[in-house]
Parts: sequence; C-alpha cells; structure tokens
Amino acid sequence: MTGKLLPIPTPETRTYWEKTALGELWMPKCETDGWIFPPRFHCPTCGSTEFCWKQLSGRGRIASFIITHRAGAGYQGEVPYFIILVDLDEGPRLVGNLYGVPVEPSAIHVGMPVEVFFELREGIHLPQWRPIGSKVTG
Amino acid sequence: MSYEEIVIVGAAESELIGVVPDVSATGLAIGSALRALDDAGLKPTDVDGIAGTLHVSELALQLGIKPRYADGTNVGGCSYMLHVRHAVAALRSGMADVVVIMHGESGKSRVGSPPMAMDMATASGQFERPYGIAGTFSMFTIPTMAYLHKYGLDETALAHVSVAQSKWAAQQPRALRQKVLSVDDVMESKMISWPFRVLECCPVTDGGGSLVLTTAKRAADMDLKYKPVVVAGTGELVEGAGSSFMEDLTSFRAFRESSAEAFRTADMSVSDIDHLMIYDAYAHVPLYGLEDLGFVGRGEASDFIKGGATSPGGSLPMNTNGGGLMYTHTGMYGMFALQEAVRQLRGTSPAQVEGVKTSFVQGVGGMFAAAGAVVLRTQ
Repeated sequence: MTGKLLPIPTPETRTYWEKTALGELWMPKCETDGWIFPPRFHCPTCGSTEFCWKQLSGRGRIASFIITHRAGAGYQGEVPYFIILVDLDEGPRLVGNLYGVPVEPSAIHVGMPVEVFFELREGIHLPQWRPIGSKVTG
Repeated sequence: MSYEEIVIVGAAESELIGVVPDVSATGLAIGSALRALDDAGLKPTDVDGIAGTLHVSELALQLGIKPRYADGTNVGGCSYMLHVRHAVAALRSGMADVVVIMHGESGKSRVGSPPMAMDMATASGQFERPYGIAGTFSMFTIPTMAYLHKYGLDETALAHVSVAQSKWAAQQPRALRQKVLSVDDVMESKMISWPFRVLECCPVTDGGGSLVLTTAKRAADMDLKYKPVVVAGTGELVEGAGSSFMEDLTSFRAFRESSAEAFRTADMSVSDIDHLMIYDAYAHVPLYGLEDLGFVGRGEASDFIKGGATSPGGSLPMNTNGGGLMYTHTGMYGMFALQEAVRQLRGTSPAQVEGVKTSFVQGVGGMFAAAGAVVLRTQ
C-alpha cells in the first residue's frame, strides 16, 4: 500500500488499463473524427459506435505544469514534485508526473519533449513521464 | 419578444463569515435566507421556489416551506449564477412567484458537512486525480503556465492580480485578508504550487449568502428596503470534467460562451458595463476572464490589471469585495460575487464605486468545468 489514489477502471476504459499493463498506450479512434479521450463507447463528434482501439507512440510535449509543495495522498515523501499536462504527438492530452530532472522551474519548460513509462501501483499501470532517452522509472 | 422583468428584492450574507465554528452549513444558508427575505418584508411562507447546492429537500425542511419549484443544480462554485438564470425562467413561466437561492458552506470548520468524497471511476478520478493532486491548488492552476508561456509573461502577472484586489479588500471590513499587498509581499508568501504562492490562492472559509427573486410586477407591491436590482441577462455553459480536458489551455470556452449569451440576452456589450466580478479562486482566473469576456484582447489582461484599470479609481472596477482571494472563499464562492454586485448596484458596498448602474458577474464551476454569467442593472 502506497496510499496513492488508484483509478477505478470502468467498462469504457478497461482496454486502456489492460494495454498500460502491457507497457503500451492505446485509445479508441474514430475513422472520421480521430482520437476519443477519455475512452467511451461512442464518438462524441459523430455518435458512431463503430471504431477501433489504436496504439499511440507514447511521446509528447509538456503543455503546462505546476510544482506542488503540498502532497497529494501517498505523495508525502516526494514534495515538491511536478504535475504536468502532456500533449501527445497524436493529439490527446494526459496528466502525469515528470521524473528524471531536478524538481525546479528551470529544469522544465512548456514544449519540452517527454516519453511515457509505466508506474505499477497496486495492480494498475499508470502512464508517467520522463525526458526522451531517460532511463528513469520513477 | 419582450419578457417580463425579473428582479432581486433580497440579498444578504450570513451574519458572520470567515471562521464560524458554531454554525452548520445549512444554518449559514438559512440564516442568510432569513436576512435576505427581511430585505423584502417577506416570511419563509411567502417563498414557493428554492435553489441551492445543499440538498434542496433539506433546505426546504429547514426553511419550513414546501416549494413547488426546486433547483439543485450543482456544477461547482458558479452554480448560483445558474440558479439565477433558471429562476428567471421559472418566474417568467409562472412555475414560482418568489424564489430564494441559498448558499451555505462550512468550508473551514466543516460543521454539518459530509466528508469530501472522490469518485475514482470518473474521467477525473481515472486520469487526473491519481497523480498527487492534493487540492484545487494543484489542478485548477495547471493550465496557467501554458497561458504565461504563450504571452511571454512571468510569475508576477499572478501577483499583480492579488495586489490589485488587496486594494479593494482593504476597504471591506468583512474581508478575511485586509492588508494592502505589494508584489514583493505576494512573491515572498509561502509557495503552494509553483508558480502560485499562498496569497494567489483563495483561503478556505465558512459563510452563507442568499438572493430573493421575483417579478418586477410583484416587487412593485412589496415593502422593499432597497430598490430592486434587475436581472438583465444570463448565460451558462458546461464544458466538461476539468482543467486537463480544456480544449485550449489558454482560454476557457465556458467563459466565452456563457458571457456572450449573458451580453446577448441583456442586449449589452462590454462598453455598457460599469462594474465587474470575475470568480477568482486563484489569481489566474481573472486573467482568463478579462480576455474571454472580451474586456481586453488576448494576452492583455496582465498589463490591464498592472496598469490599475481594475483597482480603485480605475476604468473597470473588478472584484471590489477583494474577490475570493481576499474577501472569503467558502468553497463555492459564486454567491459572494453576486452579493457584492448587488451591493454596488444598491450603493451599499463598503468599497462603493460612484454611479454603478450595471454589473457583470462571471462564475466558474469545478476546475474550468462550467461557467455561469449574470448581468445585473439598476431598475
């Protein structure tokens, strides 16, 4: 038990979490309207329910960030730490923590390229982020 | 098509705001409702419609009425702007004759308040919350760096928002933070969530506030303490789950569209507005608001505030109670923004601006999840 919060997968998101357990990032994609996130059973643009899940590259750029000095549940030993928004190269945006750089404003910037790795947290594999080429895993 | 005029005939906050450890959340709501009803010489039994973010059935029981109109819309802190909008429709269509909109929240003392539960199966629960989000200060704030980066601004853009509003708060005896602040005061205050310091984050307080709405026709027969305030226009938009799901991290669609509808239904534009309230849980929100509502161009809000336009004596007095940052922030602050707008239109604010005839009140709900806008004017 880390005390960190755990997502509760739903039927809509089950495939997403099954794929992260394989070390891969997948999302549903409508042939006409593109990626669908958060995952659901219909395309919010055209209403179609006929679409497939596709794999994403796991690379993106930091769209925005904060450095929190107040710990969220289970993060007490880690303050301060980054919470970032990543715009994936394919378009969708994910939240995560950034590892592999010093936790200070000068070490991060909007537009910084990052790549995904997966943190195992009580049976759930959460997408997390590090600079491209970094080997850190937390 | 011309619609019947809907007016605010009662408006009051709870007797005490700030730290109120001996009154429950419901008690704060009911206390303010009785004070607001007193403005209009009304008794609880004159009320046939209620709205609030607490359980409306509990509010009805506690107030002692059996309303034929109830609105429990809860999209966060701007819910009261939506309640005003819905009450206008209800009063015009005859669904109710007198509507009371109530807010009570024991945000600080947590008296009579259930523990805050988090649903980890929602979009936010699965994709935002697991990443060490300790509170709104580490989630609502995240888009800010995208905004500052886009316009080449530094952290002091946020500090200037607090500085400007502190000048209003210094004139408000009920404000929690009453000290006139310098940029250095703000920048040297405790780091919460870089780039946000504690003086750029709302405090957490206890308090209540209520509004009483009816038709102008009915109001004409009431024994009112103050001249009625007209609800000239309203707008609302629910955008989605929260800040990571925004279409554009540097502009809030729900601000743009709810304000546009409020202006349209009021048949007004920015040049008609004397006084402005923009819900400010954190110092970046007025920057987004000024631009999204159209008072300034893209990227211009910081210079506008820094130049004194929104401060006492400026061309666009904004957040004249000191805002959520300085005045009070119970959790769902929107009611207090509405209260200050009504005070300015009545001419009773401790920080009264001369000759206010119109006020625009913009609320945000959740963390960039929903918005509600209300245009008020004197009758």
